[in-house]
Amino acid sequence: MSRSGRIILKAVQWAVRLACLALALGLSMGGPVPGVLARAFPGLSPLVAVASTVAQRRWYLGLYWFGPPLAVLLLALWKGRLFCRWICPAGTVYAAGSKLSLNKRILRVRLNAYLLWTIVGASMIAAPLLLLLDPLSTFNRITPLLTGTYTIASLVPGLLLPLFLLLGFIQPMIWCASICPLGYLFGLCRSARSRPKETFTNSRRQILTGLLIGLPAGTVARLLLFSREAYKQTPILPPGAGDMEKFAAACTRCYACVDACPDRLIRIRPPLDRAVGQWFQPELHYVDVESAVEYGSCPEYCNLCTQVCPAGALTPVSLERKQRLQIGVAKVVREACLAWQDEEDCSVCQEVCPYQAIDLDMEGSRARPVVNPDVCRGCGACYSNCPAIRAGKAILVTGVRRQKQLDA
Amino acid sequence: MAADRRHARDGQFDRRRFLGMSIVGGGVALLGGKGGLAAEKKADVWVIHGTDKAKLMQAAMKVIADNGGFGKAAKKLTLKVNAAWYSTPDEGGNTHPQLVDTFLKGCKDRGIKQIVIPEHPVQPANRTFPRSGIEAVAKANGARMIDMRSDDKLFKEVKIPKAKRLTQALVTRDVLETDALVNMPVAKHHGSTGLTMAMKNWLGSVKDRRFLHRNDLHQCIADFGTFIKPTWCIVDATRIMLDRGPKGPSKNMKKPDLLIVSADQVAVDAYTATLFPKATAARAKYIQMAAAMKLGCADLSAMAIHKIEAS
Repeated sequence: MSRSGRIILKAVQWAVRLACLALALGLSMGGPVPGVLARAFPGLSPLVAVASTVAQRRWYLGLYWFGPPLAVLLLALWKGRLFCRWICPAGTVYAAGSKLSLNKRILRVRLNAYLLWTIVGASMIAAPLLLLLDPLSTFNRITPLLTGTYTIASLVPGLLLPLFLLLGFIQPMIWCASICPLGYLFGLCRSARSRPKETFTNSRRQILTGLLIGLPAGTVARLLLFSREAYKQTPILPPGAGDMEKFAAACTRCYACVDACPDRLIRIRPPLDRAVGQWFQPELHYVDVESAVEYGSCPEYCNLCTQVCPAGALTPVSLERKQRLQIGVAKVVREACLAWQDEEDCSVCQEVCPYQAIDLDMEGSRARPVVNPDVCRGCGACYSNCPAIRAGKAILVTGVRRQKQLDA
Repeated sequence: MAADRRHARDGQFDRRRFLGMSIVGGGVALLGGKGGLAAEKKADVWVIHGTDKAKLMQAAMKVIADNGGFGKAAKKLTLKVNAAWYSTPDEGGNTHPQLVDTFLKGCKDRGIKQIVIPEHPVQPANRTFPRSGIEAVAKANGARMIDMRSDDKLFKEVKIPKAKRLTQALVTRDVLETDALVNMPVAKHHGSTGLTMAMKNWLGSVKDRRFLHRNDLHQCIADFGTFIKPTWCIVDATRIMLDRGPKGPSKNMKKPDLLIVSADQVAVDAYTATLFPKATAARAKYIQMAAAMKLGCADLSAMAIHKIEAS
């Protein structure tokens, strides 16, 4: 290729890269685009698709969302790491940073192969550890910082991208060349197609090492991090999360659900307790505990977050099923309640309940609210609308360990 | 005057009270001189029956036109519907859109230039306004729905000197600053107050509803009556929830097929309450409180009730 030809190609490449970068940001930040597209970029990763399918032992991708990661995988079989150099938004950020690099080597070993096989091994034990290293999830994690849904805690996972951008100033492409398990997978696909035997021989040690780390690590993680015993509290998880332990393990922390939630109720769990497995997971918060800022409640007409999870940690739930899905249970705190304690005529919780899960106790001189836990979905309408202030909110919602469909 | 007699009997008829009564008495006499015998003028309540909602509202508009209309030079009209809930028209959580539609058409025919429909919804307006069906008819008739959640500047701070509990509040500016004010709620069961009809509907025009729930809700509702004076109240009782209100959906629905029209918001509530079970109606204490504050008539026997069949 001539010199000018190369320059034009470079220019086109950067134009495509920047367009993809802008697209990835735009889609995850929402605005005029449909909220479901928050999953478009994190959902491109075949690593997430394969590892999550293995971990959950089920084919969770629907007809449409299975297409993009398959296309990316086919692209890798054909052209290796073309995706990294043309499409990957994280790759674009790192490549741009590396243009100004000091060219010093701080990481001499390549971890990418080991990381990939560790992820595969751990996924076989249903605890896909390190899947959060997927670069597309990593890139998407930046959005909560931009849209203002972050707490201080969410800065930590959100800062992975800037961190490797900074490290790239020292050692160019440190992430892409030495760490990225997805990029390694792409390269592997290409070489496995053209030289299958050699590829296998060369990567035998890496596969073995990775599996030998991943299988026991997954087992230990399931016992210690993602077990019922590890979780003292039951946070309210977005609808479709199913089992609390499964969700904590399956979630890649891409925060597509955080981006998708129109009411910005899905917030990131801070790393402040012993439930390490649940750290940084997206949870539903109706009221900010510290600032008492009210975010709202999970309304009966919305199931968007269930549609956007690229890892199947949240499974799609139809609106009809969402309206029967119990994600938490409310409880009246009688000592704080205006009707039970303060002799006021207040039944706001009953009034706003979309599911009629709050009955009125008519004994005595005024109506007093009583939650029916067999009907309560845990949507938080009562909680966020409760006008009591003397002793705090008079109705609270806690999560359930396992979300379930209710009959009533 | 029964109270006076009792006081006199008890020997507690003091001077100040006597003076107060004289002033009220003088006022009544003055009013009487102006428009006939005011003391004997009964509160007019029109009860219009019919299954066709357009005809119902046309009949209501005729009643209004025959009884002073919206005022001579009325250019701007503020309509307070109920569109606070994510509820379909048949579920009865909001005012029926067909009634609103006919009303808006009637207003245009009578020369009202500007109609605003401000609502402070309980659920987000982008869901409740379309779901109620009112957004569509408002748009079709060139009226403007205002989401009071969208901007704090839409509220105006008012002092309420005659109030017992709600002595000040942030209230929808358009409710305060308009030529004609029409209250068009839907009647339904209500958890906190037993029933919600006309007077309770003003909660959709106040910013901090929660204050009311903490400070004797019934008294606060009555306090509204001391400073919000609707030109007309038109209560939608075409279908009413008998329980599980105000949001519903309720399995216990009734179809009275009625519109209750009056300029007296206490009277319109007192009459509408008779459509509900007695125990529920008895919980709506604000009606008696408002009557005790002389804001209107709660005594059915003291009302002039005009029954009309709309066909």
